[in-house]
Formats: sequence, structure tokens, C-alpha cells
Amino acid sequence: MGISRKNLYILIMLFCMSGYSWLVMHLDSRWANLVGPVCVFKKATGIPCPSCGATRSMIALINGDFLSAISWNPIGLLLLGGLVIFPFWLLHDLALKKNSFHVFYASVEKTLMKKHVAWPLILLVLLNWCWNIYKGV
Amino acid sequence: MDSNKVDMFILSNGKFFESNQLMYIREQLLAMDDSKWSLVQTIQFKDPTTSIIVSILAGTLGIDRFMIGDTGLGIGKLLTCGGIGIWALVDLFLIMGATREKNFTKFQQLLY
Repeated sequence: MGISRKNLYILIMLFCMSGYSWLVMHLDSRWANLVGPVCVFKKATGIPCPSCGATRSMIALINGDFLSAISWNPIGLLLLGGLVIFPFWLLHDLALKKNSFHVFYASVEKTLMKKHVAWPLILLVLLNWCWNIYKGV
Repeated sequence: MDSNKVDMFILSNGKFFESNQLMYIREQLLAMDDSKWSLVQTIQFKDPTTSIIVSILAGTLGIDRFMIGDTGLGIGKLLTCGGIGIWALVDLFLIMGATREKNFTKFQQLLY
């Protein structure tokens, strides 16, 4: 038993809104310099966290520089993909009063619980993290 | 079920639930068949204290959410560096309640 449909949709909408405002803020370098790096993990330990560099990756992708987007952090591609797709999916669900996104979320959660799916993904995140530390993002 | 047993269960497992859920749990247990007692005793609940410690130490990586079984939210937290730190901060206050809620769901699943 997971999160309710209403809560999930509110959460995703909040997520998308804050994601877009974060991105718009960082498109202007003056703002970006004002905020600076915010990663608590990096500030506390001095080493980058698994998702450090995701913002720079997304900005690079928006500017059309695919290769540097990947070299900053591949997670940025995932996040931007989510930011582009999820709002339309949610609007479609809300307009037609369906719950396809909720069903999708629940099935993804269930799949990820399986060991043969979870372990490769954990390994992938760890490898990406090692790469992040090596690059010194 | 025998009220002695129920009180024993409440005493030893009370910290895993919200205080307002305890009365409901007590009533359900009293109405429950005695044959289910061994099953009730063997359920493992997640400790809210453990989850807040994990949340403090590895909240920005979403480990706390993974631990209580919210895989989707855990991934969200992991990929966004704990929601740029804000979500991780909010979760410090929410995670204990969320853990108790999960425990309650687990208990309810036993009833049916």
C-alpha cells in the first residue's frame, strides 16, 4: 500500500514547479552565482553527492550541448525528462479523471522492489557517484 | 483475545504507532481470534527512532525513504540531492510519523 493518488499528484506538481523555478533561476548566471552550491552533503563532507552536477547538466542540455550534459551528470537527463513529461501526464490524468500516473508509479515501485532490478540500479548509481567524485563535480 | 496478551503487545509495541492509533489497535486485538496471536507476535515493525537517525545521516540520499518502503519517494530524493536540501529538512520532521503510518498499515494487513 503506497501513497494516495491525491498526495502523489500534489507532490509531483510541487516537484515540477520547484524544478522549473530552480532551472529558470539558474539560466541567468547572476542568480546562479547568488545562490551558489546548495548540496548539504557536499558542504558537510567535501565530496560531491550522487546527484551533484545535475543542474549544470540540465542547463547544458537546454543550451543544446548533449555531450557536456552527460559528462556533468547523466542524472540531469533523467530529471529533465521527468520535468518535461510529468506535467503533461498529470494534466492528461486530471482532465480525463484517470489515474494512469498513479498506476504507473505503483507498478514502478513494485518492480524496483525486486532484487534483480534493484541491485543493478544501485550499482549504476554507485558507479555514477564514483565518477562524480573522480571528476570532482 | 485475552486482554493480558493485548496489553503486553501494546506495552512492547506502543512506540511503533501513533498514540491515536493505539486504541483502535487494542480494540482490534481484543476482537481477534486467539489463533492469530503467534502471527501478531512475529510481525517486525520499523523503529521510528532508527529512521530519524538514518534521516539525519543520509537524508539527502533518500536512504530513510528507501528504508521504510517508499521506494518512489526515495528515488526522488536521491536524484534531486534531497530536494535541494529542503525536502531532506522537511523529512526530518515527517519521517517518524511516516514510519508509524507504515507500521499501522502493516498491522492492518494482518487483520484481513
